[in-house]
Amino acid sequence: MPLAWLLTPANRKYEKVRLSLLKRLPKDNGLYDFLSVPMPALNAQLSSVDIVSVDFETTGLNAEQDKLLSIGCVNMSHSQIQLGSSFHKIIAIDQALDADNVTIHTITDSECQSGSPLRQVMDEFLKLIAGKVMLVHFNKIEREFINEACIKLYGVAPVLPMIDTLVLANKAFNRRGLPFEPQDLTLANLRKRAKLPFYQQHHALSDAIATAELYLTMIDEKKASNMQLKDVLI
Amino acid sequence: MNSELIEHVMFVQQIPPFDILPKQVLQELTKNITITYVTAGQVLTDNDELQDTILLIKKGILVKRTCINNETSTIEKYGEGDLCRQLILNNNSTLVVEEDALVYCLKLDDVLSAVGEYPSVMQFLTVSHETRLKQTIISQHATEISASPLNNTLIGDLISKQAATISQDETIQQAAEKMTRLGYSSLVVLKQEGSIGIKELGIVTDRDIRVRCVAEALPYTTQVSEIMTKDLYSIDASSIAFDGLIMMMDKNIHHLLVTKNSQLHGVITITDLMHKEAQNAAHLISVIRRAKTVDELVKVGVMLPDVQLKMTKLGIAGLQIGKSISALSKALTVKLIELGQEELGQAPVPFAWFSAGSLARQEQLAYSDQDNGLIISDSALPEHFDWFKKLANFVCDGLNLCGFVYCPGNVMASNIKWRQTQKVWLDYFRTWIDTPSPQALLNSSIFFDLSFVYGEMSLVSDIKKYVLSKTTKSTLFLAHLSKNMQSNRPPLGFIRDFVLISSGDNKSTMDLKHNAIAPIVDLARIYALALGIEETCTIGRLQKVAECKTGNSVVSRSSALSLIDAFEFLVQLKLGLYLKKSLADLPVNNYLSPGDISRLERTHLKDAFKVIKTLQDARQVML
Repeated sequence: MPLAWLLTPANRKYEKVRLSLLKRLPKDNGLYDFLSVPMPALNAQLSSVDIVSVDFETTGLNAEQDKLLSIGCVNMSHSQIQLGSSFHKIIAIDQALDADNVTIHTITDSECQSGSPLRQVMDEFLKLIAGKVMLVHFNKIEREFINEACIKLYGVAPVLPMIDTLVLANKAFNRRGLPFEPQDLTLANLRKRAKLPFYQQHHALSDAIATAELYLTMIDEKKASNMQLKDVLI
Repeated sequence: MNSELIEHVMFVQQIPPFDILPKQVLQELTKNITITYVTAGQVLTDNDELQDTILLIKKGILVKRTCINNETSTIEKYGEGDLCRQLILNNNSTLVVEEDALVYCLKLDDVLSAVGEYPSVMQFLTVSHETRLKQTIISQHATEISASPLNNTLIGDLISKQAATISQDETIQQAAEKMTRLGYSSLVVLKQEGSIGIKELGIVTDRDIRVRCVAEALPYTTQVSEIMTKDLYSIDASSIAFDGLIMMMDKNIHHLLVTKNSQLHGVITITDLMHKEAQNAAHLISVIRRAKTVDELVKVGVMLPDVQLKMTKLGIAGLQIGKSISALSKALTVKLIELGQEELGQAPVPFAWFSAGSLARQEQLAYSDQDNGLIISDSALPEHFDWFKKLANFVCDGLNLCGFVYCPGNVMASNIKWRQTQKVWLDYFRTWIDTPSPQALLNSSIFFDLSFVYGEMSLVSDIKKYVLSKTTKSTLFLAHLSKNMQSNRPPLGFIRDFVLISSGDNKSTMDLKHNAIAPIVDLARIYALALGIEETCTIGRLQKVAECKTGNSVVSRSSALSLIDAFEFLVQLKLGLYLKKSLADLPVNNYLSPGDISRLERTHLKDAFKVIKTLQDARQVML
């Protein structure tokens, strides 16, 4: 499995892009509010950066064809995960769910039908993450699905500064010269390696919390106070 | 609140005291959790964000260390599922991360506002484990009162005889004569009113005659109304006995008139009420005293397990039950010795029968084995020993039939080794104390709890005096005894949880008797031997330790009191275990499975274990 896409150069210019996007957007655009909040500075001390750990469940891996099913996220500041900030929403989609897929995310058709419309969930979600850095495991999914949804809903794709635990792990393996298989980099296996407890997989909020915990084992408070945001940003 | 946090709610719910909280409160609580990750070697101090925070360890190990006089020692370890109350950290203690840990933090203020309606949870979180144990014991005592037989008995049911009366103008001597004839300790003094009406004027008691007549040198011809107690209180026969007790304590009186339909029905005394609790045991003792054959005794003996269960069900304190059963067992032994003497003839020389171990400590319960021995006067001639052998066999066999099975270690008077003259016994003790071999130490733990049962008391008391005079000076012996005791540790892992028996019939259980109760008994014995305390019962020993006014170098007053609490709790738990097992038709033994008791009890059990462990460690340090 080629890992080149993991190592996409960090989006160092996001603040510049944000401002130019904001200039072009009318105020009634759904992304306007999101883009009007400044992003943390690249040289900010990592421990002081507000992070939001995010996970999506989807009907597949292709953002163009597949649908977003649920969003879960939780805030983390000063290396503490705040369970009270937990957010979890299921999105109603107008198609039947694939049986094989349901066995993974365990969101049933009826649950899906009683979910909220994509627009409503995205509005809420963007409000929550504005001004924060997203923490994800395997950023491709979240980034592409957010971009796809934003283009569909607001006509524009936003800038999304992210930290990816999979990228961090990949770097760490390489730095130490450890041999590894791609499956060693799954959230569950990395947690196991970090001796973290088992949790319910493939549930957006549960995975978001699990990712945040994994991040804390990689970059604890002490490390974070000696690092800058740009050291981990992609 | 997202239902998806269910995993986290469930984790919190497993940890006492949160386990008693309803779901909504738990969910509220979970909202306030922040998860943090700390790495090995990190020191968490009060300045940290962790101040006034309760920590729940999801993964990893934290250690609380204290530093006194530049010496660092570990006070406690916290592992997965443990709750660490940061707030009790003081200047001398620090919290160190031993193994990378994922920690759930809850601000104390948030918790207290969420659990405000649950005082037991608040209490748990804000007091130390010693205090917690103390409070458990207090509430256990409260249960005892509410479960007391006095609450289930009516005053009327306690009265077996009509009240005896006397007219006010009769003399003191006539009153005394009437009381003696009827076997009463009090008479109600009446006044004739008109031709048919009578009125209760007062009450005259044994004590009134002693204090107000004899002591004052009043002539016996004085009218009884001169010395009667005039404050009369009455209670209706349908009242609950407990109310009568309260009334007497409130008014500071010892007698109450009992009325039925407003008519005088009888008199009840405070002793009637107090004895009600022990009635069963007292009744059995009188049956034992009247017995003429071993068979009659066996009938009583086999009832003991039932008596014990009944008392446990009634909520009588475990120590009280121990005393009652020990008293019954002692009465059985005395009667057996008497019956033996009837059969064998009088003893050729003076002797003393003693009990050792749990019976001597008054902690014997049904299902215990017998430990006893015989001290024969030094004046005994060789031909006399056969008589004692026959007596010992008679008594030991009898006790076995009564349910106190033969001692597996053969510590019985029927064993010639434990049926010797006083001189030999003194030699035994001298050797044990001066050259403490492993076997000597084992013997010590049995024979240093010695209690006279029958015969020539001085034979036993001489030995006890001699032993204490030696042990108070023999630090080497005490050191060995302390070291020996360390083999019976409470089954508490250094972290996480109970250490359970890992295989065999009693898999996944712990031995309450050997690993929890015995260590306290051992500690109390060591303290008693070191301080020259004559008491044999564990609580008595510990109380004497606590009473040492000037303090002592052996153990602090507060530690002794904590041990008393732990002991009471454990004995109660053991009795509860016996009750449960026998109701479920399981073999009655000391093996407790932690799953069979509530989480809260488990926490109390851990608290008790901590107390024991700390004091065992203190003995070890002193070596």
